[in-house]
Amino acid sequence: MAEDVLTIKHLSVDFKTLEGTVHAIRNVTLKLHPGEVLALVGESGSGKSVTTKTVMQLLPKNAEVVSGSVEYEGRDLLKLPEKELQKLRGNDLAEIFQDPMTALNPTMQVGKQIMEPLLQHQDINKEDAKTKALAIMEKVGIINAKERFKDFPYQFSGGMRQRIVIAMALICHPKILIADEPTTALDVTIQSQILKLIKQLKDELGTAVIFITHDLGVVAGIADRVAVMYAGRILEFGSVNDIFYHPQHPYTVGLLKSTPTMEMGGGDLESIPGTPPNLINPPAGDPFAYRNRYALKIDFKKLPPFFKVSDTHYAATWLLDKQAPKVHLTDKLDQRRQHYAKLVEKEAHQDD
Amino acid sequence: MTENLVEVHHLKKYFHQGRPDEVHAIDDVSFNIQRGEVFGLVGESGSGKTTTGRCILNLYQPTSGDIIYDGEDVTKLKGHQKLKEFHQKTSMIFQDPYSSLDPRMSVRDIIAEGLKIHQKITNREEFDEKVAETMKLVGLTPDLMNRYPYEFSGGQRQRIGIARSLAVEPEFVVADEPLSALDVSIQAQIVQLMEYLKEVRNLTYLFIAHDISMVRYISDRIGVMYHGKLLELGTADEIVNHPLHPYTQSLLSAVPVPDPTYERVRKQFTYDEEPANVPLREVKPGHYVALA
Repeated sequence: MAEDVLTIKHLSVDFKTLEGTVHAIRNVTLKLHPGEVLALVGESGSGKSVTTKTVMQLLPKNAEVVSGSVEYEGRDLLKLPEKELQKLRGNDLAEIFQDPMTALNPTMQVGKQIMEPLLQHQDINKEDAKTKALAIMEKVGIINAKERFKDFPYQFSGGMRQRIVIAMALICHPKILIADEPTTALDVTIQSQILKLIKQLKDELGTAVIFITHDLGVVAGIADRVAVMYAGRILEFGSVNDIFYHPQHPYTVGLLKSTPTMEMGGGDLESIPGTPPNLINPPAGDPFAYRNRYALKIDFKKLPPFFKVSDTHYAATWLLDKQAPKVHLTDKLDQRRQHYAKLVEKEAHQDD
Repeated sequence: MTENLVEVHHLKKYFHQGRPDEVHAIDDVSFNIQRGEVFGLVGESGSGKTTTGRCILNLYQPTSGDIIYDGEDVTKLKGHQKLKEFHQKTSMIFQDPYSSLDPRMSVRDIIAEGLKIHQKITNREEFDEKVAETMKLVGLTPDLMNRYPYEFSGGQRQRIGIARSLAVEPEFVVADEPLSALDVSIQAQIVQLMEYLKEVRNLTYLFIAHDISMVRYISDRIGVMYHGKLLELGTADEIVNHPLHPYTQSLLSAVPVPDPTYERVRKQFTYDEEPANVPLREVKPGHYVALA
């Protein structure tokens, strides 16, 4: 297997605030394989964005990296001087932001904004840059690219603006693309178009993608691997099938159960009670214990290590310990899986 | 009992009327909301869902058409007292729990503002009692009364927004995308809270959303809007399982499914036509569609 594109090791980041130090992410270790989509899943405040902002070195001034490293092509990004980082950002590492309304400069023609990273990073004249910008505008599905090159962001709809942001991010053919909730601000119909576009482009360019979202429906469609984050820690990671079909951590199960499906009956929706803990004084033990119906005594005292479920699948929950009682969490999810298995079969028959 | 609390007849709302940039936000929409039901209104941005909700609450003056609320025409309400009575019976929950709460007001003041305006209570003790009661109702601890919005998470803020709209004891609530700014796990909490409140307070909801997958959990009936027109109307079950209009079908096919194997084979339809200008007709009892 090829080498990992990005390796995040034991990363911890604190924020200094007036109320105290917030331990936003704690001991996060992640690997990004070439060409894959790694989904980072979790609620607001779980540290998904802080993780990727650390990779990009775009953290605000009150943030402090306490420990860890982020290795890219044999170098630790956390130790690189700003000048070197600027060469990487937008060129090797690119990001798509959540809100296409605020990610673009409202006073600049969209074509110029798309050209900007090229002119910044590559030795290219304006003519060629424009040709390339027009090509990528067409590729991301902007009709009449030539005429729209001189339009301003306000003349585009939300979905079209997100396409422009994607064009900007991909014009230099980055090795790593960070997509931070790129479809949360969009309608479902537009969302499915944008997801399709990201999938198609990353296959064409071989870009590895870190995809941040809280919507597991989106994850099922786009991800190869999934890491579930909660209160600044990774609780479980594995292939997309591991996470959806054999979830181990009660939090992952809770997230899956609270995701709506069109086929379930009305009363079947389950929510996770309570709210995430305050990260100024993060709880000892499993951070999810306080919202977990199945919490064991040890969950409140001692942090569970990662237990190996399979070669690709690891979960940090004491339920996987040999001494733990057997609980079956996933009845409903099993039903759901069977239901979809039937649908898949039906589709296959129709194709014949 | 199938009494209509709200009747919307041929509602039209044009913005910038007579100017070159005239917008037909709502173009001849008719439907009823029965007392005690949850009516879901779905559609993409710009389809006219919010404008419809605001017209019903008399926040916009419609271009033409009637809105009958409990036997009275809302568009013809005159006089301060009449309007005040109407606004006490109806209220709204907003989409964004960040921008819809005044950051400089304490939670007590936010929840009590409606009570003050409608002079439901005059002395301070009763005030605090009432605010505490409403906070408990929506699952917030009354100790948090003196805090400010920035101290709360998105889900808690949405609970404050709900408490504010329920403090005046309305009978009809327009919930305008109350979920779309929240995490999925919190969305489920708020849906359950709203169902509970409906039972204990005998509420009627107009539930506006672009995401049909959550709406179907709470709605009795669903209306589908597109480009200012109501294209399909029926029970939540009928709309989700037997959609007739191609737009409804495309909307349903775009909803992502939390199953990786099925996601790989899932078929999607797109709809980019201008819908035919035909009125709704009943195809099955209670199921209406605007197809020629």
